[in-house]
Amino acid sequence: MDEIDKKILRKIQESFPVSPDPYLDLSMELHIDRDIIVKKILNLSEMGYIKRIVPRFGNKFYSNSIGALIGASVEEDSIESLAEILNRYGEITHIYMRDNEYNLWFTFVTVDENKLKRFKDEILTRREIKKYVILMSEMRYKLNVNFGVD
Amino acid sequence: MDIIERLRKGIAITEDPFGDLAKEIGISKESLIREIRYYMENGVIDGFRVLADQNKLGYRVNALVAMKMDDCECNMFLENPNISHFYRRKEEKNFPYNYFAMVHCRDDDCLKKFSEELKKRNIPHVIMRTLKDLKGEKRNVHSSDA
Repeated sequence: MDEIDKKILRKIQESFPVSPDPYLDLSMELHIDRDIIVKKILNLSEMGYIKRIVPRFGNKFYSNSIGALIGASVEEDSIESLAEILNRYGEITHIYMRDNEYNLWFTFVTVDENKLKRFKDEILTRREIKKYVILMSEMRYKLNVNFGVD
Repeated sequence: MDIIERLRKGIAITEDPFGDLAKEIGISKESLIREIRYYMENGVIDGFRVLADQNKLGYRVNALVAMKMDDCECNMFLENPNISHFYRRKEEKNFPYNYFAMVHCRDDDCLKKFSEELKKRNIPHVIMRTLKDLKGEKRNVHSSDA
């Protein structure tokens, strides 16, 4: 990555314009030629540095939704197959294997409380889950996923 | 499908990201952008950002840190650039922690320092390192993630 890549990466991790031609907006903001911006961003994507464009949800979204962080203690050789099932749920935003007795952690975000209840009955009762904990979100202090590049 | 649900999955990085998404949904690019701007005016969406790959950027030591605090010493977490998420959650009997931080580090030392800082402040905590990202389709594309 050169300095221009880093400059672009810092900017788009912070914000990506909503516009018919977002690269033109970025070009004007960063004072970099539009064609260079497009080339650089597509290349960063190709190289795997950036994955996709995602929304930053606002207060209205969070105040209407409930968020649960769920930790499950899962038999080691069932983790991958369970993760595959979890991936089918649009409400599940992150899934990680961690070095704890609760070795699988994921988040479930929904506006409909019944969806979480149904998920609990359908999935958390599965045999390969030895125990689990559901931690309901009370307050979001910080959500800033911007990895420093230097 | 609800457009919010679709946006949550993310927009592919192409030469025309909003145009390509509009095509996929079957509406015009103009109406898609109008709809997104409507959600932005209503505070449902603040904006968009590009999701970077933490491993590729050198952040190989990532952890979910659960902490127990009666009074939040929040500034320490808000000011720390290595922390992306910081939440308070309802404590459960079998998991007695009420604050949660996602910490991203380039080396073990940085995570160790964070833990020492918590010890110095007498904050009970447990560090749960990320061993593997199991979310979504990207697992197949960049299997080196693990």
